[in-house]
Amino acid sequence: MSTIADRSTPTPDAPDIPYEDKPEGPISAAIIAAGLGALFMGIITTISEASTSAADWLQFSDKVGPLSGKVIITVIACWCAGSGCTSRYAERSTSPEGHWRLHCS
Amino acid sequence: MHLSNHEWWGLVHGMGFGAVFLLAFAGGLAGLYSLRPELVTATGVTERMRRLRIGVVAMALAAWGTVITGTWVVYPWYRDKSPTSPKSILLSNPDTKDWHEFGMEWKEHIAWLSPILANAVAFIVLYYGTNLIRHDRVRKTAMALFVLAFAFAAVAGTMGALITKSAPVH
Repeated sequence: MSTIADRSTPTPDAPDIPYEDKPEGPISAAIIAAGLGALFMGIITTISEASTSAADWLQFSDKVGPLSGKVIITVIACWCAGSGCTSRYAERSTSPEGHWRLHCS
Repeated sequence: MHLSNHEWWGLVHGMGFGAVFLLAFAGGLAGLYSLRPELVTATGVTERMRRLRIGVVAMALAAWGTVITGTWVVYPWYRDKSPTSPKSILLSNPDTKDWHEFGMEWKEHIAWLSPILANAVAFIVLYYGTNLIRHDRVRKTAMALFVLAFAFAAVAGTMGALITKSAPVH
């Protein structure tokens, strides 16, 4: 099982600076969520351009048009990805497989 | 000197949040860059981390403020179906229609990636704090996301200024 103490610290510590050692899973979760948000925006925009019925469905606000649906769904997807990864991380951190890691070496 | 309601909101969207965004980016990037063991002291790091937290949170809030006011307040005036709306004016002339077809499409879609990325950076800084000094790759990842967030917004801002010059929202 990987623990926080196992992680490499490639940069030498600055003396006398207080560090609260933290797992890196939530950082990975934030980056994955941002990436999935960007991907989702691309996919939903392509679908909206390809299909008028999809564009009509995405028109959550008549004044804003299909953009309203695209951005609302993208932000929800981002939020779900972030919280999904974080809770998955939380499960793993208490399981024998150990923590997710953002490799620092 | 008078600003209409539409012009006022255009100013808030482009120059109000835009100015905060620029300032916060400069401060945040300098803060992230200098979070290295050889550049920080125990006394200085407290003040530096406070400044960095303020910078990244301000940039994320400014980015959200820009896209939310842009999409939900200014954009409906831009895309109005009347022949005098900026979108109609741009599309009516073959010389200016690319401002809509490329410039505005960037502002509508790519610009939304900026607050998403800035949010991720703000989370990393708030969560990880001084550990960024020890974990260089996390710090560099945060810097890369921060610069990308700025780049997407900078292109959108430039497009916005040029589109406003061609067909302003009155």
